[in-house]
Amino acid sequence: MEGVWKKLADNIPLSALIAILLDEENLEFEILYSNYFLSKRNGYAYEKVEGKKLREVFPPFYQGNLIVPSKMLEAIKKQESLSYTNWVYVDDIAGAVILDFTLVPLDQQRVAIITKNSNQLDEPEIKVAKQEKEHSRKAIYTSSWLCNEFGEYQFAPTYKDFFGLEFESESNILNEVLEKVDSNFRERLVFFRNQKMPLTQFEMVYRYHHPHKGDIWVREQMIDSWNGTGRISTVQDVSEKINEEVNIKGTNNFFTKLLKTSPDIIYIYNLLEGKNEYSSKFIFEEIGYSPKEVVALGDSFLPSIIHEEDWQMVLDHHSSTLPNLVDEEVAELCYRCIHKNTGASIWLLSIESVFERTKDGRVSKIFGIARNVSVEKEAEIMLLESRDQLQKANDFLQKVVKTSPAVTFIFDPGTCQIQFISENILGYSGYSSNELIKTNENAIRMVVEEDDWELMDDFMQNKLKQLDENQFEKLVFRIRNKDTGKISWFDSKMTIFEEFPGKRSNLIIGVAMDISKEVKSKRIAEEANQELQQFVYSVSHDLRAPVRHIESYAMLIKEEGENKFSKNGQKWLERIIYSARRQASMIDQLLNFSRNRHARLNKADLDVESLIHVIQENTERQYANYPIEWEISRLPSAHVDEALFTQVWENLISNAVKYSIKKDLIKIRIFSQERGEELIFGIQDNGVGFEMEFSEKLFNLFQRFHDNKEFPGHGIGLANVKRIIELHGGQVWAEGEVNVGASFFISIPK
Amino acid sequence: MNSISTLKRKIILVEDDEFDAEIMMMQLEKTLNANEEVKWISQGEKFLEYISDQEKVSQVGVVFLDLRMPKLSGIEILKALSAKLHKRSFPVVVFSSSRVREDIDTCYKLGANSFVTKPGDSLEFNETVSQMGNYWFNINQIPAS
Repeated sequence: MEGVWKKLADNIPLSALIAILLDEENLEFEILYSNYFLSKRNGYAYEKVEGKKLREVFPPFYQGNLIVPSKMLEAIKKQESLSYTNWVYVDDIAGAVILDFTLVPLDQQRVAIITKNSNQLDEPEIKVAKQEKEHSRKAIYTSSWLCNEFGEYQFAPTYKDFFGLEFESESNILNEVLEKVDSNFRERLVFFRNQKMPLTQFEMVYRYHHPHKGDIWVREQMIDSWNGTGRISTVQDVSEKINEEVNIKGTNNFFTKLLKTSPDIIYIYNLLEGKNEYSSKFIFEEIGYSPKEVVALGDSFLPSIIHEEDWQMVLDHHSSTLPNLVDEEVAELCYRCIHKNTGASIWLLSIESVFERTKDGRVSKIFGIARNVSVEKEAEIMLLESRDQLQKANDFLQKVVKTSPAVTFIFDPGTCQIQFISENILGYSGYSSNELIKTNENAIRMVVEEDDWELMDDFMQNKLKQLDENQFEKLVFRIRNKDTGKISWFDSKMTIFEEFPGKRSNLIIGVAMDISKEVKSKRIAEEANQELQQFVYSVSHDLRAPVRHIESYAMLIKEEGENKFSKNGQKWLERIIYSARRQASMIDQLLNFSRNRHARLNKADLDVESLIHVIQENTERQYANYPIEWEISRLPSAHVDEALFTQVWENLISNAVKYSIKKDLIKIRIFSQERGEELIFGIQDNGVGFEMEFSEKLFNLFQRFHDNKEFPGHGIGLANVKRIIELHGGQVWAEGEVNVGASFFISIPK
Repeated sequence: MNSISTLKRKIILVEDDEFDAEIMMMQLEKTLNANEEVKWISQGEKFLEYISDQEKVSQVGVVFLDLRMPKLSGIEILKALSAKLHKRSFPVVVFSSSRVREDIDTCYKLGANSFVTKPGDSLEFNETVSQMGNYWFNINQIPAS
């Protein structure tokens, strides 16, 4: 090394040495030159190392993952500059050192080594650095030039390739490079090139429009000699690193914010190893695992948290969906996790996309965001369930409608359009439901018997319009079969159609039952009743009158000629009169019984207590010679037919007195009691009573337990009572004890 | 005598049952005044024939009409009477064993002035007939002929 060059080399803040190859096989080099910087830094005087073996002075060069002398040899063989960054070695004096270094072959034997100390590192970071170094080694491409005090440039042989240019003359190289430097950086680069910066290292990164590679990022380091007369420049292709950094910087801020503030779990999942490599802290809030625990659990994490019912689905997702994701594509999955502490099922919705791929393009890592959607999911499940129930109810209703003998329909009373009508309408009207639904004609008039049109119109105009929800209107109408002319009677109930609870429509829903049979049997019953009335009329006229005549004429005989008869004759005449009266009375009671049987009830609220007091007075008059002790409770009103109910009490009271007449004091007690939906009335006497085994027979027609002399009667009264009470929907029963008394009970619905 | 009797105010019994008619007549005669008498007509047609005679109809004080009779029924007679209502000045009392609501309503609609059901009991029957006679001739004012 001579003159200026030595001065320059001595003064740059880079370690530089030149070595000469001695033994190719053993990689033995001898140090020809070591600059001051290197010597000082390593504690050696530079003079002392010159002439020494490289192995002796820098043992680390022969150790570790990169044997520096082998690269030196490579550079000589290839006659190319080689650059390495982040080379780590442990120096006895300086500790752990990371060096970037460049090997520049000077000729077939000599090589220059320029190293730059990048960092002093802590022990644990060395491993990371080692890995990064491996990664970057292949990507970096370097070259350099030197400029001497006379302005003569010397370019490394790799310089043309580095910039992808075919240089005509070396004098124009820098300008040709400058033309392809991105315009944003060009001015600054020119500025620095024109500066004199003795002993100051200038470094700049710029974008270069490479003719073959497209845009690349170039790091250019320049350093001047102490008096500014010489300059050395090295260039590095740092595209890969820059692009990586740009990516990371661009997303870094956003991510940091996202990770800190998002209530979602953000995670990186290693698909190949089945591990969560990263989870944001929110995973603890949601499922009770801290991010550290998640990482520590490794590939046993997912199997331990995913709900067993969803496990297969998650596996499928990992084996089928995720590996086939293309970049920018997003996959969703909803599944359940079990909370570590509470054991509760948590619904998570994961949104995942590709984060990283292997060299051969397989998806290796997944970026995911998982959100707790338990509330939404449960609401959804409830909705589904209620929908399911609704569907079931609907199916059920449809079956009911289909199988029901009733005609079900929905119609719009405004337009008379039928929206729905069950299929069984066909049998009644001769029209199928499809013919009737939404036809333009007045579908109601198509099926309803003409005589009922007015009734139907009036019903729709007046009754239906005033309907409230939960109210319904009844209508009886007829349907005519267009083919057979057969008329069917229908009893219908209609109400406002609610599409769902609370949503009122202006449609009417109705159900109509075929009551033709009932109408017919009712008509038959009415006819029968009329016949019976005729019969009763006949009986009363034709049967009753002759009996009265017997009595009347016997009476006339008695009035005019009683004295003309013997004692026997007089007795027999009496018996004729007695028998006629008895028969007359019997016919009267039978007629009455028969009439009541077919009576139409004319119900109204009746003050029973007043009624009983009236009967009581009449009875007292009739039995004026007999002392009667009455005990009549306060009695409620009853909803009954007054005339018939009067008959009931006349019967019961006269019976009570009649059968107690032999007592010195007749005791009659009348009382009542409310039992559920019934009113019960009772009458108790102190008469002859009866044996309980006959208690039901008492109410049979013509049933008597005493001869007519002892207690006159026909055995019709109680049968009549029973019939009337049953007509009212009530019941009768009796309790008694011989010679103690009898109690008769009637019940009437309230 | 005949001429005098024809001038008497008459109760007309339209009654197909001879026994009822006899018993009624016996009862009525007990209550009647000297210038009053009972005339029994056993068939509806004969009654209509009778009242078509101007002279005879002028003496009719009241008619007791049975409903159920062969050939012309009481209802039909009432219909015939109501058809020429403007000419009738005498009251018509329906006296029948019917107590059917329909009969009662129909009779009043057809212009009957009263409806009395024949009691089943003979004593009551006699009593009712007496009261009817008393009412229509002694209490009630008969329209002038």
